[in-house]
Amino acid sequence: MDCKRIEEKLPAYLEGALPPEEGKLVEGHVATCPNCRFALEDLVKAGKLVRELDEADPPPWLKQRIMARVREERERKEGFLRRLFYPLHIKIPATALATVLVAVFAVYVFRAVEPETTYLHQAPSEPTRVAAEKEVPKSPEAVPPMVTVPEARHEKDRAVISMAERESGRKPGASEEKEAPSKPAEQAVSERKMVHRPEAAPGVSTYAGKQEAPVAKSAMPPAKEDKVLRGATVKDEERAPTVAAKVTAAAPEGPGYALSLYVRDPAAAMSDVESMLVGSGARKVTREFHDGTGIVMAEIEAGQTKEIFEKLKALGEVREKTKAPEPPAGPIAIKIEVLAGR
Amino acid sequence: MSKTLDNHNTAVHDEDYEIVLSCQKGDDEAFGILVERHQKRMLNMALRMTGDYDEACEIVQDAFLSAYRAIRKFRGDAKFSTWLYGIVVNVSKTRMKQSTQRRQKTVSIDDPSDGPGDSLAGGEASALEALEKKEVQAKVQHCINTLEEEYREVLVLRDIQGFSYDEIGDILNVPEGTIKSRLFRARDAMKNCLKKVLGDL
Repeated sequence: MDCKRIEEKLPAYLEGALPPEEGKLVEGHVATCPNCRFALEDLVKAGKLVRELDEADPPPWLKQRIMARVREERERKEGFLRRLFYPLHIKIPATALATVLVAVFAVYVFRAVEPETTYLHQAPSEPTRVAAEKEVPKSPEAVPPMVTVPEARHEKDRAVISMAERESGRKPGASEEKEAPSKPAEQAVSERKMVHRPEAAPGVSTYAGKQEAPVAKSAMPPAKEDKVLRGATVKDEERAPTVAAKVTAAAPEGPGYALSLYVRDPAAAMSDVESMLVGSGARKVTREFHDGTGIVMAEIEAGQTKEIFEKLKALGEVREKTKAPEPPAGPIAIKIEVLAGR
Repeated sequence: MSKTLDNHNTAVHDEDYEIVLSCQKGDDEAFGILVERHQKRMLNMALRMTGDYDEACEIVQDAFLSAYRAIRKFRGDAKFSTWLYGIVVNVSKTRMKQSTQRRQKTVSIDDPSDGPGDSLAGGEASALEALEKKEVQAKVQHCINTLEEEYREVLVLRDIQGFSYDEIGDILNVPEGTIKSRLFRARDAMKNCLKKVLGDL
């Protein structure tokens, strides 16, 4: 075995990791070969030099820096966890949002079906009146007025019917034919029921758009006429005038009081106007907002116009547009246009 | 969380066991204790692996941070310190690769093999005594640096840190036979390098 291969085995030999016979071979060679003996000595010395390397001490800031980074890491992780569970945080606003949406939807649905519900509210009074009218033919004395009623009504009904036609699209001729005096009383009653509907509509139209306002207005005279006629001719229809009165009371025709409010931000002012109205005890407050112009409609008590006017002045520049003569009591429809101004 | 150390092998006594448990429960103060306990050894491992004190400090920081992030994954199959030192070795290797890439762009003018060691190697017999201990140590470190990574790490772990073959096997995840053969070659290379650098040993 040459020296080079012996030298390669020296580290293992020193460690005692060589198989016995190989170890003996190396031992024998080293004993006779000075070069290999020196190499073995050098190996021992080199090992000693390596083992004697001084230990370095960590700088005092090392631990501080490690712990600072650990803290940073924890904050980062907590931040991540917070972000991870952010949906939990948003859950509360989400439920609140859902509640608000449901409420808004409910109000919208209520508003959409309100004409029908208003009609339904009147329904109980309807059968009583129908019953009253039905009773009419039963008593023989009542027959003549019953005959006169359709005739007397004929003119005013035409006006009312024309209103109904505008809504339902019925032909005027057809309705007039049906209105023939020879018809049984029940039929006349059912006819009246249909005719009565537009009368109820204005009561609802307080919130409705501008288009319906003239409808309500033109519907009014026949309603009054109806009251007078019925009061004069059909004396046994005791409930009829109250129904009519109720309808008129609940239906302030068109805006009795219209104002324009000029503000810097109409959209934002809408809520102020609305809350002001609600605060003043206004009912049926509705709002619309299109193309930067808002319309708030409500019903206020008679005598409140001045108060409302003053309160609106606090919100912006107010101009009175129309002001119908104020009734001593009862509701007044108010319409406030909120426009962009200076 | 509790599952992490459930299968802890109680046959291996680990003085860090309780503290590691606390760390796994999120106790940062406990982690501070581990830093205190192991930073010196880790620093010296990194120092001998790289030969650069500042770099070693960076390695220790990175290694502790990695350990902090992964401490929940520590299952107690081996001693915690062994696991920790394995991280140091890995971080050292990664950073050395990065710094080698960086260094290759610059020219290594200050190669110690061209330094005074060589000029003294030829003649003066008293070269070793003439050199300050510090300088000798610098030469030794230089020789360690010349070793290939796989030889260097076993030399550092065995001859400098004095780990048993079992522990080195756990740290490096390498069989004992491989460790020994690498170690013997590392020692032989060290002897040759030192003889060359220091002249008479």
